[in-house]
Amino acid sequence: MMHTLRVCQARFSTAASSSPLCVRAGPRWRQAVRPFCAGDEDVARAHAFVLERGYSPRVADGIVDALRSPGTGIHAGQVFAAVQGLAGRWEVGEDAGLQALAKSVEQELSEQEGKTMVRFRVQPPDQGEAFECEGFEGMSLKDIAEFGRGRGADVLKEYIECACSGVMACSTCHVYVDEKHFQTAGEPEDAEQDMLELAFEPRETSRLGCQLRLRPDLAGMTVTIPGGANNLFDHIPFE
Amino acid sequence: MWKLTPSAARFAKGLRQYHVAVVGSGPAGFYTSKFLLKKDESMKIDMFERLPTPFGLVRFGVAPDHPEVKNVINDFTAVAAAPNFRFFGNTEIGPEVPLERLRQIYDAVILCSGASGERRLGIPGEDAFGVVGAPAFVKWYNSHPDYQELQFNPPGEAAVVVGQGNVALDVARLLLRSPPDLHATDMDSKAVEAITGWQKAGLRTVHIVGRRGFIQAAFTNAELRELLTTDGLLPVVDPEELALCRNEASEAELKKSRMKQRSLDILQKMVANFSELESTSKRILRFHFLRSPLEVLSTQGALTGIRMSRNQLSGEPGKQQATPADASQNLEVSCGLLVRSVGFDILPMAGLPLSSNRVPHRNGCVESAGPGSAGLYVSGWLKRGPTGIIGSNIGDAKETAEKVWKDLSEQTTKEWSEEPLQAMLSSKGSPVVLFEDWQKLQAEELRRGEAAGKAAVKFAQVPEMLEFLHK
Repeated sequence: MMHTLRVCQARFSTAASSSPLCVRAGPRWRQAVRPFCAGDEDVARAHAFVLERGYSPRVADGIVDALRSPGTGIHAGQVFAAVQGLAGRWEVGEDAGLQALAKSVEQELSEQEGKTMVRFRVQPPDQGEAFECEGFEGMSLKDIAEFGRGRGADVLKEYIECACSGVMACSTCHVYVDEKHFQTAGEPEDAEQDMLELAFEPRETSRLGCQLRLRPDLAGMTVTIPGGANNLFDHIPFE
Repeated sequence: MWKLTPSAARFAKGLRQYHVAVVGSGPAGFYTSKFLLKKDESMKIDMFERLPTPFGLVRFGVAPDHPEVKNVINDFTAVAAAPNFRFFGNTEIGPEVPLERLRQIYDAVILCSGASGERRLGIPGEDAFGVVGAPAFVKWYNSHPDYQELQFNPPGEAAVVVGQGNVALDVARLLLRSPPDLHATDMDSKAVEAITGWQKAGLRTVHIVGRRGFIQAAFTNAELRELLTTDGLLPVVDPEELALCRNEASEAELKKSRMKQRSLDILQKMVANFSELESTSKRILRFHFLRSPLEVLSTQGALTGIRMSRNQLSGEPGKQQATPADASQNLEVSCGLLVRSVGFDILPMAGLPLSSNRVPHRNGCVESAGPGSAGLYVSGWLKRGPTGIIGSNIGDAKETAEKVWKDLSEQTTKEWSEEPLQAMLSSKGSPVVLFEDWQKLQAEELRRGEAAGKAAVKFAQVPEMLEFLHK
């Protein structure tokens, strides 16, 4: 919960719109929430808006409920406006906090659904010690770098760029996986390998952070961040 | 124990903030700004861009049918939102805003203005009408205001693209893509109309010509692979020519490169297409290896074709050169459009030392920058030379940012006054375009696009942009 609060506050401080919202998406949002009445048009519009932005009904439920829970300062009839504010200039690909809130809701849902927390280690390029890191099964390393918790996630965030928003159109999120867990994770598909070829010093155990998703059998893996996250395309790859 | 950040430490010592000028708003400018702000979030960064629109080649160089590559704009937009960052668009560094003046008022000036020139083939007939450089052609179809006057004759049945990098593949692929596919992208409507017309008038084949073999070619596998699944397009490779590429030294190169082995797999699928050359109803993208253009053929100044040599490779693995074989193996190809895709080039700039077309620098700091109190730095293509993709700027920008930061920490800040900058900006002939103005343009481009069934309809003229913004 504190994490969600921190994430939302961080988002609000950089958002173009200045919204004084302070939102918690934790088990608490399940309590003391007014039931969703069919006649409650403001809430229905907010819910529909979230669905239009591409989120699932469950996440939309969670977002709307979180905004309606006591302590947010959002009064009846203001939920739709609040959601619009969080979405920011979504038409030009920007976001003013909705993504972070959605991610937080997803994580809470994962916890409740009993999804496994997978713990692994992150080895930064220039320091001796590896950090503990964790995320829910199904999260990619990019997800953890952006929305994850703890020191390991912070290290990932510092070192991994994501230039293309996670669609395999660059190799800035390139990492090395330890041999054993690389085998477990399985071969990357063609599209991923095409991008890995352009990464800084690719190895046999290279993966893109946006494609490597956590699974219970990847617990204990060590992910190493390469020395340089640039694509050296101007270097023809043979000597 | 709470550790002071460098910026907090400086404030604690009563020192002022550094002011840095960044010239150019492409990946180099934005990545350098991003890493400078990471090092010192109190640093004031003013970015100057000649055009009203930011992002350089991300906006004007990336192929319209590769929109995902432009996602980096989200990253750059976040940098632009930083409180200590200002964007001054429609502001050229030149007579009205001189570089020397910037060096007087700022603590450091970083040039990220890229490479707007193009390399030529250096062969007879190259100035015939119908021969165009890929940098200009790409900017034409990407709505760059300086390239909208480009004129063409209808190419007839075939066009030739000289060069074997991803830009050459982009040009060839877009010349052959189906009109509905082209229309749906943010490609300039005039260009979509022109290419559609050329296809209707018979344009069926684009030849891509490279002087060395496929193992030395610069194109990468994602772009090569996509040709196999592009609607209505048949990529073909002559099996005999593919075999010619595999001389001993090239085989040695191939063995060491998993990337090139994967290229070979893809090209062999294109070899399988070769037998369909005569029977197919698809448009054809034909690769030629080991061919160099010798002479551009024309009639009354208009392009009719190109004569090419057959090349042989010689030299050590990794350093092979192409040398022409005897003239009996020459090949002539008819075409009405020739696109030269052999590289961009750095253009001279007043106040910038150039030696053999490269800026002499050390870790991004320009050597012998001449008198002027602020350090002069370079980042991006202006620093490395014009090769590489968007991500190539990351390591480069980090290096320049580190160097700037290190040099700044060894000097005191100048006394900053807004007045000299504002005096220059307000007295210049054309109004400044701020980042929030650009965002209005962007929203309008998306709105117009949606109305037209396109990803976006880009503004292609500066006066139009200024009028829309009521400036």
